[in-house]
Amino acid sequence: MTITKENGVLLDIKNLKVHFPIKKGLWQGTVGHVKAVDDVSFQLVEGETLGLVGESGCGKTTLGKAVIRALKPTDGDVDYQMRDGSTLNTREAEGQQLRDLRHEMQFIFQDPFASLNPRMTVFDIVADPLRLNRLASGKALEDKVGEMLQLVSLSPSLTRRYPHAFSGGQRQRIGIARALAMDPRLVIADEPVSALDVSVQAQILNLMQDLQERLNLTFLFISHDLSVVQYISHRVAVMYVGKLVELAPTEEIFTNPKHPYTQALLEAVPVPNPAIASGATPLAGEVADPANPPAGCYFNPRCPFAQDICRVEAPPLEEVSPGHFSSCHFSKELELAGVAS
Amino acid sequence: MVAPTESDASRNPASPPPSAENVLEVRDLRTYFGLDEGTVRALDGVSFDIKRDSVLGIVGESGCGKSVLARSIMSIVQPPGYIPSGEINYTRPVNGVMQTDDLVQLDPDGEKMRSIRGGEITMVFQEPMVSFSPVYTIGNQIMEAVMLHQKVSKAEARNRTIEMLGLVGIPNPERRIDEYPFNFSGGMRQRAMIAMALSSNPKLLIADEPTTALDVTTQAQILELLLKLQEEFGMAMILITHNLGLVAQMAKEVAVMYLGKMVEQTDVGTLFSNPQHPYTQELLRSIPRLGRTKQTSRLTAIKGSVPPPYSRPSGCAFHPRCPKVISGVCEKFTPEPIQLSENQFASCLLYSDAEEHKMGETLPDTTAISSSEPEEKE
Repeated sequence: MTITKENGVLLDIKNLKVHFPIKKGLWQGTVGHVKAVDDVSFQLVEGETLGLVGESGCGKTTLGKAVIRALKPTDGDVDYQMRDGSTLNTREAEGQQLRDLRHEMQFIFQDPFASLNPRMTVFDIVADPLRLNRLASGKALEDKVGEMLQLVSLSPSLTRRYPHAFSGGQRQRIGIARALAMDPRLVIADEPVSALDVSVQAQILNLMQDLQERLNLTFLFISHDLSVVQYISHRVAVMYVGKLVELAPTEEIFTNPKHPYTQALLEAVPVPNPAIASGATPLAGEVADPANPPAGCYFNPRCPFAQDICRVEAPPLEEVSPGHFSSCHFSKELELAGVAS
Repeated sequence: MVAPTESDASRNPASPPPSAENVLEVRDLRTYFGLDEGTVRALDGVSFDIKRDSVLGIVGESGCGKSVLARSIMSIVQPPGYIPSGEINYTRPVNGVMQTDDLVQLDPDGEKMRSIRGGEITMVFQEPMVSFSPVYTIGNQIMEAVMLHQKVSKAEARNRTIEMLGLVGIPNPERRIDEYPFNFSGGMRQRAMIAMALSSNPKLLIADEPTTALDVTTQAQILELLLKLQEEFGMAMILITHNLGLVAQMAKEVAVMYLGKMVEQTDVGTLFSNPQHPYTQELLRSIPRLGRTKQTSRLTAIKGSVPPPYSRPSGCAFHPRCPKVISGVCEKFTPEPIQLSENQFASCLLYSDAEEHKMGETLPDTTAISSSEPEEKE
């Protein structure tokens, strides 16, 4: 499926690779690469939320940064359908094209305590992108900032205050207002609720859903928390050591996972119900080193189902049923339980 | 398990002696911090018991005082923090006789407290990345703890350390004992931390968010290990966390904290099946649950956010966010723990009658300052 006007594909990621060189020695020679994102392909349809899950170091944040071009991908293509219907290959975008891209894609950061400049007022924080892009000034700017704050349920009367006067949840609202000030169509949210308290987390998740409905936003929602991802996403992609291991509609991936790693992730989440015991045996071992991954399937040293072929040959990402992709040699044979509902 | 006392009760000769069944009985503990903005009452009259082989989960959001509680028990509250009143009665057999000490009364730097801290009561900290010194080997640091608390030679301490590292599932402990913390991954460091905490055969282990910094699959390993060792060692454990899933899977008894007070105490089954305090009810409703929440449903969020600690709301501290608030009552009176059933206590005015409100009137909450938090529209 490529980008056309009809099928609604907003973002088409093809064989995206982001490799970081490892430099050593006096002459800083390159001795290897950390394959943070390694041959990842998927598409985002306008108006959907794709949840991207994985453990720390699996490359999910790097992927988000490469999509928004905070990082230049090593290889592969990221095609994006602009507002005017034209397609932009963001990997090659430069200068004005990149500036145009900023009207289309924005980023929400993880830590609301670190992502707002403590010396800027809320007004300046939200107005900054508008000023930089010369989109508004004077009264129009003030109106726009007020409108953005109202959108995230903050009182516009607070614009002269500094970030320290706000709680974590309120700060994350400011971060969302800043991202939405440019009227983006695609928002990449990198762990937007993981730094927040449980009681506040629900407020922000509800807000993001409301905003998506009102503004027809597309979200790439990066998180390590499966219960949050399940709640907010239409589709879920699971990453392990730089590779996509499974991609499926939310309900499908939680009830009928096809990759043993997805199953292990689901079992590892402690269930908030003392009557239901969590997964039988936790996954042994640790996440593989992306600079020195094991041969064959990266998951094979930890996989309870690993066979000889898994230690030799890396499985491709294949469609096991319509819309459900999994990269496991035994996707079709394995009977995985999913999560009890 | 729990027997919260009246807030003004201080331990006197007339009060019942601590039960031998409980390793720790905390009575009306207060820990304050004197700051420029005012006095922060991080712990404001906390009472609970923990049995010798039980796991007590303490749940709460950031700022509720759960970590200060751990530090108060360990007697490592740094100035400007101080404990104005309260008791921490620690009971253990000494030479076959049960002996009780009030940890609040002990000199934090005295010999007795130093032998208890890190020896009989040990702690696993949240951040495995910063709890070890980077300039000493892992073995060096664990051996130091072993030699401090047990009368053993250096060689014996080294053997004991290797044994402990093996017990917590570190492969090749003979080799890894001489490695530095940076050689260990996060999960391995937390295992080493647990090995250090258990090396002296503690009576009570305090685990303060032991898995918050870890990935889910690693978290599952550490939790299984902690539970297994808790049973093996027959020690009591206090598990401090904000994660209700962890509590459900690990704890036997649970205490829910909000702004320095315990709002509900009960066993884990009752907490999840029949929560009584509105804060507990809302908290349970607001978490997204795996396999339950459908895309169409909305989460029930608790309105507002936890107020800053130096501007605690008057009366019941939860009343500005409470959906069941009784106007004219909740902002005036401070609720006391009320026993609702044999094993369930909740501090909520919903369950007290008018008589008790009048009693409360004589103890108005004068230290409360009105909120300086910017208003949040919902």
